[in-house]
Amino acid sequence: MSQTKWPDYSWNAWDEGSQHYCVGGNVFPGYYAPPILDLRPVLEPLLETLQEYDGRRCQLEEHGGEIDDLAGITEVLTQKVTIKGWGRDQQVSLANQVALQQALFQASNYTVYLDIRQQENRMPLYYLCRTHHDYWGEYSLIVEDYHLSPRYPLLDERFAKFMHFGHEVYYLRLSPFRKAAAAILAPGHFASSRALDHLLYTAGRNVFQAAWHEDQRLAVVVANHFGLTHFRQAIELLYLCLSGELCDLRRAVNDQLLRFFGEVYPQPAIQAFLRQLPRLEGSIINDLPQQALKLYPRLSRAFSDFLEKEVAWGRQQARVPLYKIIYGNFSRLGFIVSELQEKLNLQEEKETLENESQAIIDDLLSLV
Amino acid sequence: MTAWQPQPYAGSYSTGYRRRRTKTDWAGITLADAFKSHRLDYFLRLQAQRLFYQAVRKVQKGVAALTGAQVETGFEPKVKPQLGPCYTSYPAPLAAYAAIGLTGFLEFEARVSDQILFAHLEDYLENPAKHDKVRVDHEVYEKMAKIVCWHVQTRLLLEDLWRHPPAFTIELYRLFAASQLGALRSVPDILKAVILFGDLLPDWPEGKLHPLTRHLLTDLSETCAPFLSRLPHTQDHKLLALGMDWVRAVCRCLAPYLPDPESETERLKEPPSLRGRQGGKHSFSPEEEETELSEDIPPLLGPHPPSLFDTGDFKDLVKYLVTIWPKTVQSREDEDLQMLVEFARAVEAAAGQSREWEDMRFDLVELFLKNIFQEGPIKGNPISGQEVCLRLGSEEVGRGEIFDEPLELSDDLPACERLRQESYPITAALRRNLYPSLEEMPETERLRSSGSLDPARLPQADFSEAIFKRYRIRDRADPRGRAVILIACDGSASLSDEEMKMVKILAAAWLNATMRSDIQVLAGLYTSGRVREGVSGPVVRWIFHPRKTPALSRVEAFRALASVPDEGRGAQSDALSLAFMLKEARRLARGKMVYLIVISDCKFNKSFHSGLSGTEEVHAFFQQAYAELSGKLHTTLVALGVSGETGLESLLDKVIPVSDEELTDYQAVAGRISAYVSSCLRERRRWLARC
Repeated sequence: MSQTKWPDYSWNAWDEGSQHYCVGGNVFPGYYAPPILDLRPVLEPLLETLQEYDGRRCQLEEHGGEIDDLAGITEVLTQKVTIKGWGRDQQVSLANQVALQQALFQASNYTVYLDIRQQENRMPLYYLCRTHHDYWGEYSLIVEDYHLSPRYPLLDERFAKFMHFGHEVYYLRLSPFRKAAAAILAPGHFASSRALDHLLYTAGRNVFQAAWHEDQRLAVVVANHFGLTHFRQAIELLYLCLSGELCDLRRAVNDQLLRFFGEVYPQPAIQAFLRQLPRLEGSIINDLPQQALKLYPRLSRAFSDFLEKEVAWGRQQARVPLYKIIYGNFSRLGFIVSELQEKLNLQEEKETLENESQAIIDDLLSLV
Repeated sequence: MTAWQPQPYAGSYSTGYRRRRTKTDWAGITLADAFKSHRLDYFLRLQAQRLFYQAVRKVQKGVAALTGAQVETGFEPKVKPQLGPCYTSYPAPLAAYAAIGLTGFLEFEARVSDQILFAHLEDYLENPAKHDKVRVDHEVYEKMAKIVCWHVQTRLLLEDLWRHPPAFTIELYRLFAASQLGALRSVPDILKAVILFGDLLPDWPEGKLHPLTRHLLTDLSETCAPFLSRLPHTQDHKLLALGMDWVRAVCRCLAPYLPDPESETERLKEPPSLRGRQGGKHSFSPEEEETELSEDIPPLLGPHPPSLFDTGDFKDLVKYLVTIWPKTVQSREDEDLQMLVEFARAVEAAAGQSREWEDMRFDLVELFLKNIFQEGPIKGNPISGQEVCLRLGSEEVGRGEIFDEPLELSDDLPACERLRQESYPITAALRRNLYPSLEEMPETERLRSSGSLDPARLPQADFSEAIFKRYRIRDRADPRGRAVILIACDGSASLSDEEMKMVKILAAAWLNATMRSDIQVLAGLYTSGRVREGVSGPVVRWIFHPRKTPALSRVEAFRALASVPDEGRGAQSDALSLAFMLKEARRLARGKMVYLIVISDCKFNKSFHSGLSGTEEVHAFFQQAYAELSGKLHTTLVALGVSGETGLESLLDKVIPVSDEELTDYQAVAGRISAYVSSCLRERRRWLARC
C-alpha cells in the first residue's frame, strides 16, 4: 500500500495505491472523498470565540458584572466565525447551532462534534472534540478534545453523551489520555497525530469498548468518590472478560498497549491480564467468560451489601441506608464527597468491598 | 511517515455485518435497556420496552387497587407512562424504575382527586394568619400555607405508598427527584428540600448559601425533624393528624420571615432584603434604604437571596432574569431592557434545542424535571420521525415528516373479546382464501382399502375397489410470494363515534381473518397528535407491525386495537400517512404483493404545501403507488359514511361504501364484504390461471 499524500492528521485519508478511502480507521473501497484539511487552523477562530465566551460567562457567574456585560456576551454569541469548509468558507455563529454544526461536519468530514448543554442558569456550555465512529462497536470514541467549558456536565469522565442521528448516545472519552499517550509513543519528541489516534483507537477498540459500559456509571462514580480503587479495577476487568473479543485482543497486545495500562491509564488488573493473555491457549480463553460470569454476581452482591449499610446522615443524624444518600445526591456527589468521606464511618465496609474486589481480581487472574 | 495500515476486524477485512459482544449477550435484557442509546439493537430494546411497560402497568394497577378501583377487568390507566427520567443522565437502571415510580405516583394522584389534607385544613387555610395569631401579610401567609400544605400532603402520600407493594419504585422516584433538586432560589424550593428530601440532602457547605436561605433551612429543618422522625412509625389512620400539625408548625416557623401586614401588595413583589429581625435573622420585609436600584448584576452562581415564590417557567429566560436580577432590571431604561431581551434571545438560541426532530437533550429534560411530582416532557411511547417524499405531479414533489409509535396493549380483556365477537360476521365473510399467498387446498384422495366411505363412488363398488376417500391439505405457494396486507385506519376527528367503531371492527375482522394464514400483516391508525413537548404532527400508531409493536402475534394485536380511542382525534394527513405506511409495507414485502386496505371516511386532508386539495393528493399518491408497484398493489377502500362515489373508483381495485345507515348493521356490512370476497376470488382465479 502506498503512502498517503494527505497531511498527517488522522485516519481519514484517501489511499491512492489501494483506491480506498479510510474514515476513522474504517476502510471504504473505491469511495472517494476530498482530502481532510488540518483541523487546528480551521477551528482556531471558533476556539477563540468559545474561549472568549467562557471567560465572560465565568466572570458573570462567579463575580457578577454590569448590564453592559450582557451585551458583550450577546455579541460573542452572535458574532460571525469563519469556518473553512471543502468548497467554501462558512460564516456561522454560536447562536445558530444548526449552521455551526453543519459547517463543522463539512470541514471535518463528520469527525468534529460540538456538544451544547444548558445550565440551570440557562447559559450554554460547550464541548468541542474530534470523534471516531466505530461501526462494529457499541460506542464511538472521542479521541481529541479541543474545548471543554468549565462546569460542562461530565458525571463520569469516561463518558460523554452526544446527539447522534436524533438520539443521544454515549461516547467513550479517550481524549484525556492523549497527552500521556504521546509520551509513550515518542518520549521527548513530537508524536504524530495519526500515531496517537492509532494507539487510542487500538486501546479503545480492543479494551475500552468492552471494559467500559454505561451501566457501570453508578458503581464507578461511587468508587471514585469513596476511593475504591480495587472495586473499579474489578468492574473493568470483569466487563473486559465478559464483553471483550479476547482472541482479537490477544493479537492486539503489544508493548505499547501494556505500557498504556501501566502509565497512561493505570489499571494494574487489566495490565496483568493483558500480560498473560498472549500465552493463553484457546480453550482457556473460551472458558474465561464463563468463569467471569460466575464472579460477576459476587461483585454485585458485595456492592449491594456496601450500599445497604445504614449510616447516620444529615442534620438530624437519622439512620439512612447508604444507597438512598447516593441515589438522592447522585448529581451532586462531587460536592458532598468530603462530607461523605469524613462523616460516614465506612472504613470497615470499604475494606470489605475492596478485599472482595481484590479476591475477584485474583480469582480471575489465577485462571489465566 | 509510515504507510497507513487498515484495521482488520476478526482477522480479516470484511464488509459483512458483525457486531461485537455486548452486555446483553451475557447479562440478558432488563427494563433498564428500554430507552438506552440507539446503539443497542432495536429488537433488544423492544423486548426491554415490553418489560418496562409491563412493570409500569403492574404499578399502575397496584396503586389503582389502593384507591379501590377495579383492576382485574377493564383497567384503564389515568396517566401515560412517564419516560422523562429515562432520558436524563441518571444511571439507566435507576432511571427506569424512577420513571415507573413517577407514573405510579401520578396514577394515584389522578385517581384520588380529593386533596385530603387541604380538605381537613380547609378552615385553617382560609385565614391561617388569624388561626396562628401571627402578624404577617394575610395574603402572603395564606399562599405560603397552601404551598406548605401541598408539600406535606405529598410527603404523607409518599409515606402511605411506601407501605404498599409499589412503594419501591415510588421511593426510587423520590431519590431521583432529590438528585435533580437545583439551587434553592425560592421559599418553595427550600420547603421542598426540607419536607420532601430532608432525610436525604446533606448539610449545605458554608458560603454556598445566602444567609436568609441558611436561616430558613436551619429553622425549617429543626421544625420538621420531629415530624420526619415520627413519620415512619405513625399508623396509617394517624398520618392525617400528623400532617395537620406539621403544616401549622411549618407555617408558624415561616411567619417571622414573611412581610408585615402593613406592607403594600406592590412591595411584596420587590426583592427580599436583609433586615435584622428576631435575634439577627433575616426576613422578606422590604426596607426603604435597601430597595435602591442597582446597576450591578450579582454573580449568576449566587448566593442569591431566595424569592418568596417560584421563579417561574424555565423556558422564559427574560422572566427568569427579571426574577433573579430585579434591582438591575428595574434600574434600566427601555432600550437597555431591549438589550436584555436580545441577550435572552441569543442565549436561548445558543443553548436551546436546535432541531425539533431530535430527542430532547438530557440537560433540557433535567431542567424540565425540576418540576417534581409532575408530568414530564416525554411520556407514552417513544416516537420517531420519518421523512416522506411523494411525487404529486410531473414536477412537483411533496416532502413531509411523519412520526410513528406503537399503540400500547390494552389490559381490558373483556373489551378485546367484545371486539372479537362484534367483528365475527365480517371475519366469517372474510375468512376465505382471500389473499393469494400460501394456499391451503383440501384435496380428496381416492383409496382402495381404508379411509371413510366415499358416497360418490359407492355405486361403483361392484367393479372398483376405490370406494374409500381421505382428505389431505396441500400447501400451494403463490408464485408471487408471501404477500403483505396493510390495514390503514383513519383515526381523525372527522370520524363519528359510529364510524370509529366500524374502523375498529373492520380492522379486527381483517386481523382475525388472516390469523391462520401465512400472510404478513401491518395495521396502523393514522391521525395527528403530540410528538413531544411543544411539537405535534402527523402520527401513525401501529396496531400491529412485526418489527415495531410490542404485540408479538395478531391475537395480541387485538389488545392494541382495543386501546384505540372510541372517538376520532386530531387531523390526519392522508397522502403523507398512506405513503409512509406503504413504504413500511414495501420494506416487509421485499418486492412481493401488497394488499392495501384503507378504512376511512374519505374526508381527505392536505398533507403538503402544494396547490392540490387533500383528495387530489391522495389521488396522486395512488397513481404513483400503482405506477411504482405495477401489478403488485391491490387496494381496497372501505368508505365509511359514504353513500355515493368517492372519486377513487376508477383508480382503486375496489371501493366498498358503507353508508351511515349501515354503520351499526354489521350483518349488512358483512354482506357487502361477502360480495367483495366473491369478486376477489373470481379475480384471484384469473390471476392464478395466468401464473
